[in-house]
Amino acid sequence: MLFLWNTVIDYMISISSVSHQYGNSPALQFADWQVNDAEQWLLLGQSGSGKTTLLHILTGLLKPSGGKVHINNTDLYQLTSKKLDAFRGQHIGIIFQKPHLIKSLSIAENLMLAQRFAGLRTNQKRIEEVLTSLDMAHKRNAYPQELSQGQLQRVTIARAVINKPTLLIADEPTSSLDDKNAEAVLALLKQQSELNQATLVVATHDKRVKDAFNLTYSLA
Amino acid sequence: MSPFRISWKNIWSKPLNAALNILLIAFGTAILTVLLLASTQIEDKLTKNSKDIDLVVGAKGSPLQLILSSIYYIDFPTGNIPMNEAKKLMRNPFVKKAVPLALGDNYNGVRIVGTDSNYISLYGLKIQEGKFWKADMEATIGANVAHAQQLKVGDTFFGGHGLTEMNDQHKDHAYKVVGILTPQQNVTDNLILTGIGSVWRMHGDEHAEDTHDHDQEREYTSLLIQYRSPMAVAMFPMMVNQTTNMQAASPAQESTRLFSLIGVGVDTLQWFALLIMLIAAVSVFVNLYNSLKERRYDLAIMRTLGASKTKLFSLIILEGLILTVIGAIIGVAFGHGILHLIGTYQESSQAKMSGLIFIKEEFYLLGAGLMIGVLAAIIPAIQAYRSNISKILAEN
Repeated sequence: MLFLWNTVIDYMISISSVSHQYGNSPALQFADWQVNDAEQWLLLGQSGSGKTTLLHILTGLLKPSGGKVHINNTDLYQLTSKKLDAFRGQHIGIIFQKPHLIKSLSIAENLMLAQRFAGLRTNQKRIEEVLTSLDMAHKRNAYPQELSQGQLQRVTIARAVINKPTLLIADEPTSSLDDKNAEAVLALLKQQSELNQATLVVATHDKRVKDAFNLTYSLA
Repeated sequence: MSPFRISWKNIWSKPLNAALNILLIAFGTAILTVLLLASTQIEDKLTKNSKDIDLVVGAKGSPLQLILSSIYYIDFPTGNIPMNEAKKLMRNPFVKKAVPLALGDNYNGVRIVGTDSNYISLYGLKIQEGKFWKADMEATIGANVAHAQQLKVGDTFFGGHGLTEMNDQHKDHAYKVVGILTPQQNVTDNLILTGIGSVWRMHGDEHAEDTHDHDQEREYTSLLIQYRSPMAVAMFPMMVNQTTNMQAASPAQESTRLFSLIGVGVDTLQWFALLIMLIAAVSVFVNLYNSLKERRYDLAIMRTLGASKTKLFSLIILEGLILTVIGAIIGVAFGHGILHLIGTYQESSQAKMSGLIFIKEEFYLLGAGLMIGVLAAIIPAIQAYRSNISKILAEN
């Protein structure tokens, strides 16, 4: 028992015997996976292989049909719905394929929203710091519709790291970008995860990304 | 970044939608406010002015007209009654107090009421400046009259024949203002009170009130009567109506009749306003429901940022509340404005309505606004609460 407990607390991510089934379709089986603190991983798989499903399971958005999921020593699906939401807000930063910000709020307000929903106080200094590190400080009062695709992606990265999460998860962050921007976004993700000492998992089927990571978890 | 600010900014990201919803709610609330204020003020005026008067006796005709002309001073009298006949009634054992009225003249549309000192005790009048009328051609004027007509103690004025216009002035006799009443918050604020002899004198009877040579020809317009005992309620009006050439009309009964007549119109308008409120509620619902479809992904993102299901639920409810409460507040303010505007264009000073009077029932309208907001937002809010974020995010 003690041994099991030890194995769990040593990892940022630990999944064991995780599977998920949508309706009557065949169940997706995920190989056990352990990720250490501050590691940078690539989650590889073709479209339909279950990348997004696994990411949703890891971020507490989708309860798996079976298996255990531990993030930062916490058994995710043992938490109540409210605690799970709060845990996600404070410990996990998520970046989606398409940058999506709340249109009615300015860039700074979008970041404030992330602080607020995570149950933290508004910290203007931190907002300034993150926006500056992503070279977006000059756009703090702009609205999402005024920004280019590349700028929007930077802001979603800013939003993901604003609360200094221990785990940073990106779902296909480069698939809709050209080579130059894809490289830039990847560099930013790695830089920000290092800056915030966060574990990074990037899910992709984009071959351009492969060489940027040493650690890979592949889905069949 | 408070939940209110998030909801507020989202509402105003589509200003036209928000304005339409607010306008509909405001429109419905404004109509209800006008109805509520107008009926309360009319009822209040009716009650205050007829508070201590059990019966009005006057010439035969419409009983409602008799009440309107003798208590509220807003219609023409039904005619005159012989003074001798009236005096017999005044001495009847059923009568505790009887106040004679002589109407027929005005000053710039303000009615001149000839009466006796019982009128003072009937209405509990008090003097602000000067004294009550005593000799003929002395007048004590209501507070509003003094203000509106710029009259002060010592001023003189000529009365005109009729009740509304000054076409035919009685240039031979000038009234002298001897006193101004303190504001009574009833009909007397808008009257000029004088002795009955003054009115007679204006109409060619030059003899003093206490000479009896001309009693046969003298007339009153009506009598305001207070009963001595409850028994009189059943007996006295019947006696007047059956045994004399005069008619007796009960202010309570006629006010009720008047209200039931007005009531039909008020009811219709009330249903109309409620219908508008219902349309407004549906409009807010459709607005929130549609925007929810567009915002599914926004809300899912908020969940990924740590917002709980309850938080999303309350954000949507808050949006409904903001729209309807703003609408209700604007509606109440608008209702007061409309009523005040109606008041300024009203010719009769007696029935004048004011938009500056606030009543506690208006809080019910704000409460109704709150309720509509919650009702219109509840289904979209439940949908936001139940939404499957993983599915929404995967679809996008």
